[in-house]
Amino acid sequence: MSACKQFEELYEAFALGALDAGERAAFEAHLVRGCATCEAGVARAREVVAQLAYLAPGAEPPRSIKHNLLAAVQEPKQRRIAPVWLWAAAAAVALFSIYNIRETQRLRRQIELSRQRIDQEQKRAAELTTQRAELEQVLAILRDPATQLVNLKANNAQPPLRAYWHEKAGIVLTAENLPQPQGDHTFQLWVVPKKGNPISAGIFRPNAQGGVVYHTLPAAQMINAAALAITEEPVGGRPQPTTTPIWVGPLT
Amino acid sequence: MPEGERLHESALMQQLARRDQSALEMLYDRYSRTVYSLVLRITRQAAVAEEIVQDVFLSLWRNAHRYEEPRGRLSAWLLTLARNRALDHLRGKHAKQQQREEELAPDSFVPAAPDLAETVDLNRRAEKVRALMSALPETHQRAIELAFFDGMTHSEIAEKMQQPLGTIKSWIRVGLLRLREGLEQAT
Repeated sequence: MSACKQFEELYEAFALGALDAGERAAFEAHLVRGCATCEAGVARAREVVAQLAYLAPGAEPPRSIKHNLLAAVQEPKQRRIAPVWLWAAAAAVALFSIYNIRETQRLRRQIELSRQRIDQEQKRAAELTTQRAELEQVLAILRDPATQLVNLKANNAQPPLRAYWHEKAGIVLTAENLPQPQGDHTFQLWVVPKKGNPISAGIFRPNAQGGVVYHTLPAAQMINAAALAITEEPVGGRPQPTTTPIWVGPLT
Repeated sequence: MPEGERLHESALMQQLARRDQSALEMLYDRYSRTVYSLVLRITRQAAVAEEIVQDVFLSLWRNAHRYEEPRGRLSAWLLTLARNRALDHLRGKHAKQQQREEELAPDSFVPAAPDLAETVDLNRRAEKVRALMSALPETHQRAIELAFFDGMTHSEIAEKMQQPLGTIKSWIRVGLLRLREGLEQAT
């Protein structure tokens, strides 16, 4: 309160702006510290000081002031409203664009996935068609009375194989519980003619359970064939046998 | 304007805050003459006074949302803002304008007495202020006017009137206290 007493006499002069720099700075520093008493005193003094305005000789303001004032408050209003719509429209366009871009990307991904699925299905259908054609060929060979059953016996303890021989339709080879060839080796089927070197009839590997259903188309030399033989060969097979046949079966 | 027809200032300010131009027109019609007279007295240039008056009412328009209820403050806010703008122009200290605006937040006023602004008609109040000032010694009046209309400090007034600094301080303080007492009695 003692500080307030010190400044109490300055309220009116402060409100009037008549304090010299030193006094003004000191009082402002006091007010800045948040003295509610002095703030209220200054507010009351300002109210009184403002009344001094009535001492000014009366003068009529030109009408242009009011006209300009009302025009000035109208323009910002219009400007204020317009940007709101513009911003809203811009935001809507931006959102719509983002939506469109994302939607387009999503649709492209969907189309790409659909294409991939179609390709896979077409590939699968082609495979099934091929498999079906092969099975039909196999069935045709098995059902044909001209087909000759050839038993291929192993030269060791391996289980036997059976081949269905048809001069024109080809060979169907079947087996169960067959061991896997060593490493990346493969089994190779040979048609052994009555004269001359063996002719390759293709390569095959048993499935995981050791089963085999192998079909190969007929070769030109099959008419003069004397026997069928199977060797184990390096991957991809060989033009001529490089090992002793494991299975051999004579044709009758 | 008869008292019964006057809308309460706070209601007008609420309308103003809602961007009601008719409220601005009513307030302008009510106070523009006093504000213009004050600014013209300080600047003595009609063109400058017109610009400042328009600026003051634009400030009122823009700051209406900051206004709070206590009565009697609006006229004081307008007049003090107008005076400061005019004095800034007089001194060529436009840089101070922003600072003064900040000082003049609408809530920096409280009424000198209850219903001061509402119960005394502007013309009657002007007559009352002039009467109260006329009752002061001429020296007191002169010192107060030099401070109010010319923006002089105690020291500048003392030098101009060739009086001791303490005397000037006393004249101004005594004069303003009597003015306050007189206005309070009038309500």
